[in-house]
Amino acid sequence: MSNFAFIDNDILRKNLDIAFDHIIELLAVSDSDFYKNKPLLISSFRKTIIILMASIIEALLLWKLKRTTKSKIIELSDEYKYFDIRTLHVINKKVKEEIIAGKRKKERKKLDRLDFIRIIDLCFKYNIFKKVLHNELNKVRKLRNKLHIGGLEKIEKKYTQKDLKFVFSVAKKVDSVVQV
Amino acid sequence: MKRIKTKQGTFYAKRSDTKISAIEKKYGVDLGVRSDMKLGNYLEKKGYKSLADMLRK
Repeated sequence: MSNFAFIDNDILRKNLDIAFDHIIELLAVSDSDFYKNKPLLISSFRKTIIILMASIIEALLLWKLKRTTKSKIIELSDEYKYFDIRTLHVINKKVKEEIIAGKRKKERKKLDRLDFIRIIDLCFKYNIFKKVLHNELNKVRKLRNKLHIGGLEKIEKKYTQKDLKFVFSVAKKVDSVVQV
Repeated sequence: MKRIKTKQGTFYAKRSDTKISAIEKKYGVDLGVRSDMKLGNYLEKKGYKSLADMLRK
């Protein structure tokens, strides 16, 4: 039996189960005696677990958003496509500062192409969860974004059991709100 | 544990009543608890109640 039996999309449900099983086994293995004296590896395991859990959270929210909006495409309130741009006046040639005119149109995006931050904001907009969870989800997203190591300005911090507990507690809340 | 047949093959989802021994055997590790302990109880013992709650009974 799936841990995400309420998900009506077979492929998504199975992919969620695979990721969830991966988390549990990573957690169990990283807690084993073998890694007792390897704190850096334990921390790395925890980082992987956080990334996997964030991907589960993102998938659950996207699934819920699709069901709520009943659409595959969504209009973004603060994003426009600009076209037919004409320069009216050059303010500063050196830094290419200009006064321009043109047309703009609200951008419509496929829900499947939305990034995590947009999914969180849209779920909040559609009252899928309250402000507290919105803030917690953004904390999870920031932890998840540490996967982009090319842009990190500091050596990776040590991921603790407290970090894991926090991400798991957010996942549990998301698991509850998407089933409503 | 219930098995789910998929087009890609057989897939098992972890359940809270999975025995710790199954994981220990699979990875050749010692988790330092009784092997017959259930996964859900193990996660709670470790302080991961939220995660244990997400596992199906």
